[in-house]
Amino acid sequence: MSELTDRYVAAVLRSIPDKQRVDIEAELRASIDDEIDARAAAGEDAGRAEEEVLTTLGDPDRLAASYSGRPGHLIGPDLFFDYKRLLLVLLVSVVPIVVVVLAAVRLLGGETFGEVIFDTVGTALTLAVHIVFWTTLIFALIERSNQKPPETEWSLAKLPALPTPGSIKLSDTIASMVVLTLVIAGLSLTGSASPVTSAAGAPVSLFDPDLWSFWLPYFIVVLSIEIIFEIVKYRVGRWTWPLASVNLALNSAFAIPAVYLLATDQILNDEFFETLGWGTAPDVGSTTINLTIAIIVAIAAWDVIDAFRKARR
Amino acid sequence: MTYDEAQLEGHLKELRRGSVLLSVLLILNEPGYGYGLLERLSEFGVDVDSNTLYPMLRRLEKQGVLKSEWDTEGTRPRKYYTTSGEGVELARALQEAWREMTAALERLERGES
Repeated sequence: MSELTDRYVAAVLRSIPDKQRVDIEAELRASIDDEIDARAAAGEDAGRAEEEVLTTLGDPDRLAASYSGRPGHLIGPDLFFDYKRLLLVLLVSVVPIVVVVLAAVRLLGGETFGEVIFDTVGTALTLAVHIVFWTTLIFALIERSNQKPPETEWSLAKLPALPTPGSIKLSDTIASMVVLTLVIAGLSLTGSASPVTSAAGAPVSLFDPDLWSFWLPYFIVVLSIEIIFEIVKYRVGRWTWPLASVNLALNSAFAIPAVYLLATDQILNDEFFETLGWGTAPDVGSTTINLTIAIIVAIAAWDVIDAFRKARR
Repeated sequence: MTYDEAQLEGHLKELRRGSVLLSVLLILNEPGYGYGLLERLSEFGVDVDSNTLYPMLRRLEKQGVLKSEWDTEGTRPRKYYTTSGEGVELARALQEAWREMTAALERLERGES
């Protein structure tokens, strides 16, 4: 018996549970020695025979896993598809929600757009890595426990519907969320950053600063709810009556106050126009204001009618 | 067009996988130990790798289809395995299925149904 066999057997036993170790060691050694003897008896050099025998037995970790019945994979075919589905759901739901909420909170806290973008991208990546890591760890542990989870039997009920013309596409949802986020960012920034600055260098907002006491935060909240609504709508998969009704409520919550504020001259900041040398802000009843009101009403009305039309199909 | 060697090797490996268990259950109606069993199987034309056979014997013992006994009287201590009563029944069931498969394949070859 030589050092090579000792090292091989030790490498196999390293990951064998204590109570099986003595038994497996004695049996494995006997088997190795038997085969070396047999080869030597057939005229092979003893050293060569030992090398051959150990090489045929192969990677000690693999042999040990085979002895103790441990899987040679992280997540096996029984669990893989459940793992993949759960991971996808978590990534496409948790990451966007956290990112949007976080960005909105930080913008409201008065941080600059650049800072918020930079930090939010970093947070999104960290969050995604955490989700992947912990989900994988949990599934790997389930794979290694003797207690397999209750068989998640696949049935026809789980079959996804065929994509229909009225169904909601992921690309549309993402586009809407990006636009909404940018609008929220823009609204949040009007107080602290503006391309127009006063003689003293302070930013001059397009919107009346008085709006910060209620209406601007209100619009930001409504738009944030619309982002969540986009996610819910995507999860549902198609326009339904309840979704179309909520869409009506959200559009009204945005358009009615916007029109009211425009019509009562509460939105625009005179100072902004004066600084630019354009005189005062457009008056109520002017073509600019009337056109803006018409556009807001038209977009909201189209969105509401379109949703109900698609829900009816 | 012909299959390549590696492909054939892979298919043969899958075919053998099922047969090794049955071979072990049949050959162990007489007691046998690790390497000795490997040699006897190879005499019968059943090729199995040592790193497949050794862990398999322990697994089958744990499942109750083999039983074992240490013999410390020879040149070196050896663990002898024998097919248990349960194992004999399992072997019978497997053999039955095996014969049915062979018969089915033969019928397929002759084009009968």
